[in-house]
Amino acid sequence: MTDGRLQVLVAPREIHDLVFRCARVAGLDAGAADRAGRNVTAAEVHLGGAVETFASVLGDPQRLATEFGAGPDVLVGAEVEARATGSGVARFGVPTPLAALASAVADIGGRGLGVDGIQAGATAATTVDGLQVTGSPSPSDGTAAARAARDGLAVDRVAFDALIAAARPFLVAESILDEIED
Amino acid sequence: MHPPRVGGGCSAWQARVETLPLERTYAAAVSLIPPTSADALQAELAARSGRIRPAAYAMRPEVLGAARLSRYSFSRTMLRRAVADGWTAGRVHQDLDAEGRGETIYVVDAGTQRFSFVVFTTTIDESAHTDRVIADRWEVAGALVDGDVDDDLLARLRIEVPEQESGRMDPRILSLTRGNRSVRFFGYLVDELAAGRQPDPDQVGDAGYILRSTAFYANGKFGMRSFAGYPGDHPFRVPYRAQFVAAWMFRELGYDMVEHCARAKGGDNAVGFDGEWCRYFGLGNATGLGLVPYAFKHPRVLDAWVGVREMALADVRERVVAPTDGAVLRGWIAKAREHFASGSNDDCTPFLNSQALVPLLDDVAEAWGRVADGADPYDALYLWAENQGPETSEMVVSLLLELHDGDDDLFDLLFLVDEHSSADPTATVAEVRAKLDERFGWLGELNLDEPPADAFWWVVSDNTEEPRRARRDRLAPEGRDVAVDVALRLWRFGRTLEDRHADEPVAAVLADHPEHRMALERLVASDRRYGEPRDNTCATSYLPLQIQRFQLAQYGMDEFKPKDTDWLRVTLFQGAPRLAELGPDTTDDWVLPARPTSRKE
Repeated sequence: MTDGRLQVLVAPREIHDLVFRCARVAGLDAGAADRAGRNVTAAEVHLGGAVETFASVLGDPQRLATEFGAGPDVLVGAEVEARATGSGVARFGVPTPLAALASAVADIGGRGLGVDGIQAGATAATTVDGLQVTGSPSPSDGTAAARAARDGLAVDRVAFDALIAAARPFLVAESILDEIED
Repeated sequence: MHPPRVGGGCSAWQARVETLPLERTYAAAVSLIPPTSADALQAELAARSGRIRPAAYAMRPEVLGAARLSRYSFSRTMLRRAVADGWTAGRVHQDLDAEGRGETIYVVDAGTQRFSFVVFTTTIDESAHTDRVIADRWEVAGALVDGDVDDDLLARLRIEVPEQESGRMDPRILSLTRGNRSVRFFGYLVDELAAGRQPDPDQVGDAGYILRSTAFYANGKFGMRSFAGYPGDHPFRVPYRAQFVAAWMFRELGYDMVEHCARAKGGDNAVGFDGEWCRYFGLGNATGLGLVPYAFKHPRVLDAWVGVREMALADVRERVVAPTDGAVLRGWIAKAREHFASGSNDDCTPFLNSQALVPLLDDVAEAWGRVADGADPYDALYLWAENQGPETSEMVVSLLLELHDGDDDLFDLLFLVDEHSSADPTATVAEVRAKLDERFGWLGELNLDEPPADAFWWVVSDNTEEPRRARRDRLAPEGRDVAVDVALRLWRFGRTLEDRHADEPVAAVLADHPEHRMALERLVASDRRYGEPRDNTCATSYLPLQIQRFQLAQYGMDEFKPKDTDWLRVTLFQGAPRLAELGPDTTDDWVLPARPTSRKE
């Protein structure tokens, strides 16, 4: 059931599951793919536009791996540095969308550190070259997540359909599975 | 606000679960469950730490695979809640043709909210009947909706619900289900009622159902409402409550369809099911490999399911025998014996069939007779049962739990878990090794370096996304594997850690070995006693039926009839009150009904 011609109402878990599969198809290991799923979902919930942003890299597995696979690792490296010295800088090498980092930022906040460098009004498509891990996390609440869980998320239909198509190779044909069981 | 008290004298609500630096509670921004609630079960278990069964026993595959429905199975907790809160339920619309094809709507009024179960029925050729989730045609397709259904929504449901996995739902829809008629018995039951007769017990055999379901989707699948989307005071803010309300009404539909078709066929001669039969039939269910990934991907959920049972068992085992207790337990043993004695002698390998459970229950009765007047009789009975093997021990566990009078408000709360966690990248290799030893020390017993340990991988079929197993030597995963190979992943992670310096941060290990990231996340998430079945899903010897049976028992299903190593048939709500019977006098002793013995015309 669609909400308008260009959007489709989806549940947060659907985004996670599709991004996970797309990332596996693109070559990410299961852990990185799961993390990508969490980042894109969190970005869609809190910032909006994450499904479109992720869909835009589906045709470029290298970019997907760099931004959505390795990007969060760079941020984690900065967190390790910040724990030792009080501050750490993440330099991503390529402009990295917040769609690839949103859950990782929240995780760092959950461990007691803040992440500076995200402009007010940023969306999931907003890219960053670097972020600083330092200080205390920004206060946050679960309002957006609760709303998304209750009402769903209206996302771009074309982008969502692109994810469905890109995730399809994660599945194995029933005929093949039946054949190898014989 | 003071937390509620629990029977059994727990006083450890304020106790905190110990955490090592390796893990942190996930940011509140995404956690929707108050920390006190998320930790409540752990506090209850900690307060009974010397009396609960160890995970080394409770999580053994053969013990999980001997589980039976209990007082805390979801079918029973749902109906107790319905009674306690004064729910009412009934059919508000039925438009069926003589063959039972059409639309039916049921409504549940939970006081603060109403819910509608909208179901579309048709007939398909007998040859198209299949229990597998991959079927593309069903005789019954239904959806549970939050609120009443207006014409616009009904029109949409007519299109989307029969499509099942291919349909598109929205957050008003809480559960989606489908199934078929029992090929063997639907027509027979119609014929008998149409002729003015009740069924012949010998003809019905041990058929415990009229309709057989195959799935109850919910929680965000296909656009439905997410579980986290239920506000705190919502009647379905308890795991699986929405699905079991839907299942209960699905079962009602079976009765309504048979009686409708009988009236259409027999006219004035037709009769309805009489008192002996009107509760006997439950809802059948066919279950395949889809349950397995869930169990292995949600350690905190699994812990809650096992932990609640272990908590209640610990309370009963130390209970001081009251004058009426012995009679109550004897009554439950006799009731179980009568139920299984009226069941079949079908081959249910690797489980015991109904007839084989009769002597087992005779032994239980005899053992209770020996210990009932001694010290700690319930504990003595359990200890005896454990020595007889898992089928006996888990039967006795379920019987003993009938004596537990836990507060349902509390137990509903205990099933709620917060699954969010995140690994601290600054944790040292030494800390991670310690945690691995503490939580997964049992991996060394599984011969995980031997080739048979890695024989299978788990895959999702392109046909309605049914999980399957594939032999690695016949098909390479190529990135399509479902990450339920928990034992192998953790074992290999541990091997890698052996070669790393104890003081380096685990982030450095992952930088060199990103393939272990999921293992680290699992290690962190697996912070509960009962979260991990002691099994390897990829081994040649792995038997899916065992974890399936555990899950099905927690749902409230029984009559486990395996069809091969990967799928089985079960029955739920057999003996349960019908919708119209719901009321303050409805009791919780409806399980384990005996098959009617006499035929009335």
